[in-house]
Amino acid sequence: MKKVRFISHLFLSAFMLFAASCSDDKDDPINQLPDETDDSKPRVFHIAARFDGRDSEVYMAGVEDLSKGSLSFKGNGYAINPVRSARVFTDNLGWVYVFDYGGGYLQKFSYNNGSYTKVKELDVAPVMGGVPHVRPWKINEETILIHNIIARDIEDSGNGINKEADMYVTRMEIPLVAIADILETWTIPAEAWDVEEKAYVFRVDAPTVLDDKIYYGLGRRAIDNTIPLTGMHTIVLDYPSLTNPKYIRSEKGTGNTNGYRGGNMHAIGEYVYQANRATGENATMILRLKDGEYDNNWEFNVTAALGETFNTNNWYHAGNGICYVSAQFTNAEDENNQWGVVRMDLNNKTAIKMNVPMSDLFGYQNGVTIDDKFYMAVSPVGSTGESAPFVYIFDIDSTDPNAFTKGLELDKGNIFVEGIF
Amino acid sequence: MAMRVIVGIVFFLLSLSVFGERPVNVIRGRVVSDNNEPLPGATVFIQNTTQGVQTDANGYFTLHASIEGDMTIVASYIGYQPMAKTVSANANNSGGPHRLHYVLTENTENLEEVLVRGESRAARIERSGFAVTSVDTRHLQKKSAEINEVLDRTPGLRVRRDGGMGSRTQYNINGLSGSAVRIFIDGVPAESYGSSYSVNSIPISLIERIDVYKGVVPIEFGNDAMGGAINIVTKQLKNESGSNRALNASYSYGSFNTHRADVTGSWRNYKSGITTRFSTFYNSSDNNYYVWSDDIKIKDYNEFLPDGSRNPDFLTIIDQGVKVRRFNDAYESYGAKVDVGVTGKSWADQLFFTINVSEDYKESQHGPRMISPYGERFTEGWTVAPAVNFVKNNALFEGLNVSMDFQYSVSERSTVDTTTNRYDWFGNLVPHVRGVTRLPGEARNASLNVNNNKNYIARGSASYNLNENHLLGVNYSNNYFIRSSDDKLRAAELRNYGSENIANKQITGITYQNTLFNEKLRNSIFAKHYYNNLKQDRIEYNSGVLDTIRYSRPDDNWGYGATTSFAVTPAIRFNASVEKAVRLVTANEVFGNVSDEIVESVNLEPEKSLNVNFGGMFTLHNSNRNQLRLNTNFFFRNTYDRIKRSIVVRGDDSHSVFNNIGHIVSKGVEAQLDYRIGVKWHFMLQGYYLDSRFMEEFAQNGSVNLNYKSREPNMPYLTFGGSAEYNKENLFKQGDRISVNWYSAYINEFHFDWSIIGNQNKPIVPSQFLNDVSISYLFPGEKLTLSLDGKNIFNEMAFDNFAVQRPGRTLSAKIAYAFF
Repeated sequence: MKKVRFISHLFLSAFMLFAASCSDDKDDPINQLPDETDDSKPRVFHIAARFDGRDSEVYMAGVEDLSKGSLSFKGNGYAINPVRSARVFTDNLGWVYVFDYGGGYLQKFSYNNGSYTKVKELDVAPVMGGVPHVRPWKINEETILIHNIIARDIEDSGNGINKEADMYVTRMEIPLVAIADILETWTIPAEAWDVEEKAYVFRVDAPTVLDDKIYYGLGRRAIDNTIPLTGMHTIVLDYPSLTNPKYIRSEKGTGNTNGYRGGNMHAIGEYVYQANRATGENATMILRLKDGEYDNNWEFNVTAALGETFNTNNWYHAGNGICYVSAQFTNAEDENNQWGVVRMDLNNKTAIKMNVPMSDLFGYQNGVTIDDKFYMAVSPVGSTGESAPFVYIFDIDSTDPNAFTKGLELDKGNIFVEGIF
Repeated sequence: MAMRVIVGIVFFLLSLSVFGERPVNVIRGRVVSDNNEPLPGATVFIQNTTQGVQTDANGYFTLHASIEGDMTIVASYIGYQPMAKTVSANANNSGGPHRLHYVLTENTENLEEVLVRGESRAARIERSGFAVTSVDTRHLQKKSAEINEVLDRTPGLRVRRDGGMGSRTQYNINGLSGSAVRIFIDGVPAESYGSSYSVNSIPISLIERIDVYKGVVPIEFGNDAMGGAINIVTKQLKNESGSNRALNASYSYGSFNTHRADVTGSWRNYKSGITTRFSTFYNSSDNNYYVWSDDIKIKDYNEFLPDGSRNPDFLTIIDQGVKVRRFNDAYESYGAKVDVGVTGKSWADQLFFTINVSEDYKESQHGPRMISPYGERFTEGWTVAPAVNFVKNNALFEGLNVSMDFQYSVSERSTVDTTTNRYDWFGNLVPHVRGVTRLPGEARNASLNVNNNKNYIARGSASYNLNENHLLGVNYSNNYFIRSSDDKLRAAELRNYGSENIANKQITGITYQNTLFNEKLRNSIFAKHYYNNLKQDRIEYNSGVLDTIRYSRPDDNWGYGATTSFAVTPAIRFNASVEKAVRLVTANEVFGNVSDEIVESVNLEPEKSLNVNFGGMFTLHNSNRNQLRLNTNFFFRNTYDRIKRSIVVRGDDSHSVFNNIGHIVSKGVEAQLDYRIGVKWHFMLQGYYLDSRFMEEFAQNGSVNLNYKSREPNMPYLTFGGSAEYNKENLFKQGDRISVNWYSAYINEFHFDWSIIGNQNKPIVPSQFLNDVSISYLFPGEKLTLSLDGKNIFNEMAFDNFAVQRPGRTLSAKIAYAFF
């Protein structure tokens, strides 16, 4: 076996020499700029969809016009084929980034004339503790962050806490796709509120950068189910160095702040805005943070503004403090279609429910803003209503619940559009 | 290591049991027709005794006679005049075996009367009306073949393996697979022998034949074999067979440091009727074959450049599809089976006590796909299974045949995955990244999981011949299976803490069979009642204390079916069969499993299928030297309530849940053409086409299924096979025999996911054309055989499953010796 390894080594070394000597700028993927940089061509939107409820059957397809026509995944689209599930991101240059959750690979694609070409691929597991089940989020045009929490069983040291959570973060530079900074594995301390409520941090996501700080929403889990969890929490790190982590709390709202697959926190103006995943009769609250602290002088009770109980796991900032919220109304009659879209104005603290069809937006992840319009896909499930999946185009400036039009028509049936990127 | 002690004791007992045999006279020879065609399955027996044998596929026989003096030895065959020859044998006969050559003349007068009597058991099973392929393994015993390879050449059956020796194996019969297809060893469900005793563990020299039932399964297999059953029939020492002792050994060595050895033997005392049989096996392989598919990704592990700055290519894939050698895939298994009992008693035709022990060790190279290599993960397991078997024909009164089996088995399987090391595809350690704490466990979680299984099986069957042409039969089986598991490295809230899953399956079958019109027409009807009582004693960690919660769900189902077989002429026979079959639900599917993150699905219904077969056996040409035969079967499967795993969201996390959401209709055809020229040449061609479509128009939530009427994914649907075999005797010396065989298989590409969505980068198992050769040489004296086998000789990239490459060219040599 030793001998085999030695020979393999020789081969690898020889190969690397060969590869190094052969490389020239033409083959360098960084120089293979996609269509987008050519200003004469229109922007391409990438639509990701999951088929038949299977997270590992994820496809993406490009479309130039979201306002009309139709897009079908029948015989069309790139099979991302992840081990467990996939996340898609795009940048302003037109690159498409895909993270294979479960495989641990961050992939970069170019898109030309309807076809995707993989130009770079990177294995993040070795910098994430050897674990490929980690979460990515593109926070700006320069950065994708990869992050994870691993909660371990420990001996109860007398405070009722028998879990300890380690946090891993890696900063990935884009469009290069190269590792830029790595957080030294940080053990999240059990703070007084964790000891009191017998809880621990089990997940972080929705990272948002503002100035020299990065803010992570987080999820807590109860060790003792009989004690209800309260508060909203954030982990703050110095950015871009990924040092000096802090774990902070606000008691203005109750619920986890990690959202689902990112999208629960946004840097708007001078602040980072954060929502909770409200459970039961708790209100959906927007809080804001700055300089690594919660702003204790500001809150927005969206439930009160709307006048109806709901919760959210993802919301999208369309500009000027106008946001569109994936909103679950748990008392909705049709259990397959409990989700609506709420327009929320952070400046005026108002909220209205848009008159789009109810659907299932649990796994919906992204919409796009073009000029003064916000585009997102709404795919009602099932035969209870007219199943008419479309890209809905919202007029950002209007406070009319009917201020939207139907755009691109999508496939009816057991394919779920996860987002427009 | 208690197992090693047990195995040692068993070996010791075996060594005692082979002492004290009487000398026997060995009579070898051949039975051919008057136009020099071999007569396979002809009966050769010593007149006025019960000692006799049947000829093999080439008409050869070896008869062990325990009597001395003059013997009259009779050869008979359907449609031929029997012939008697006399030999003189004495105890000090040292001149080697007696040789007898019989040339039988055709008997045209009484053809119909003797139509059935001389049939081999395999041929008789194929004429029962069931869609069954009976593989006579006697001619395979010289080859270093694996049973799974033999099965894979059976029309309608696909064996899909994840890798080399010991890898996970899935059987697919005419489009149904997974737990819809059940494996039996002498009628006992193979899963009760534990995972350390697999189909491949059974020495091929111990196997008489393998029956593959497609979709319609006789009642004596008391299990929910909805898609079909594979029954491995081991050699039985029958009262009338010739020898009172046998000892065979074989050893093979091949590519990837693969060793296979087995010793099998038997001994019977005629006076006392005490019979001892044993078989032992040892298999091991490094399985370090080369793989070079695109999933083999080579990364740059230099975190920093020589100038101390970050390497922009750190962890980037710098090459793909590199040829690498697997390095953590070794497999070892060994075990023994001993039967001691009596035969031919007035109170029992057969009463055997059996113990089967085995142990295995298997390394794990990667997860379900070859994404990342593991360097240390492995599993190991052991099984101890004692059993009793009782057979009595004409019990209580004439025509009532009774048999009973009892088996208890205890087995354990543990998974060990605790390392914080990570490996690259060259088997090198991946360097640590400073400041990053690495977690233990190469697969998703660190694991020290231990599964404990206990299984009790009681089976009884009785048949009564109302008269010569009418038979009534009943069969009852009671299988009580207890599985508990725990993984002390799992997070507290995800541990099973030894929660017990209990499945009690009680299956009762009743059948009526008749034979009409001089046995030209055979019919059977049957009904099965399935009682399935599932229980789970779930131990849960709740607010700091362990609670036990009890769940239970009994359910009842009926199945029924019929078969018919009609011989239009001796050369044309049609078979038809139909069954409404059931695949029962399991405890994990119904109650969930904390550790596997499966949530409960209390209303889950068993899967059901209406299975129909129509086929026939046609002798298209039968002349003096040449024979052309066609076996074909059309099949139809209407499967509904198919159980499918899907994802549900509970709280913050996604979990698996099992639902009945599939209606699948499968149609297809399989055919095999055999052409024999004398005994020298045998050519075979086979083809298989499956059209399996998803027929659910709407999803459970009411959405339109875009895959309505689409071809079912991850299912090979078009395959062809062909072989040519050449046999020559007296090549170098009188009495030797050489056999050369070439086998080619073509598997058409198939989609891993639904084919209708997407058009780029679709996961596809590619088309493959694989070729195997084997050559074997039987030395004069018929004791020693040498064989050489080459599999996948053109070193093609071979896949049974998506992105999991199977071995390339594999060579092996085997030596087999029959001591007596």
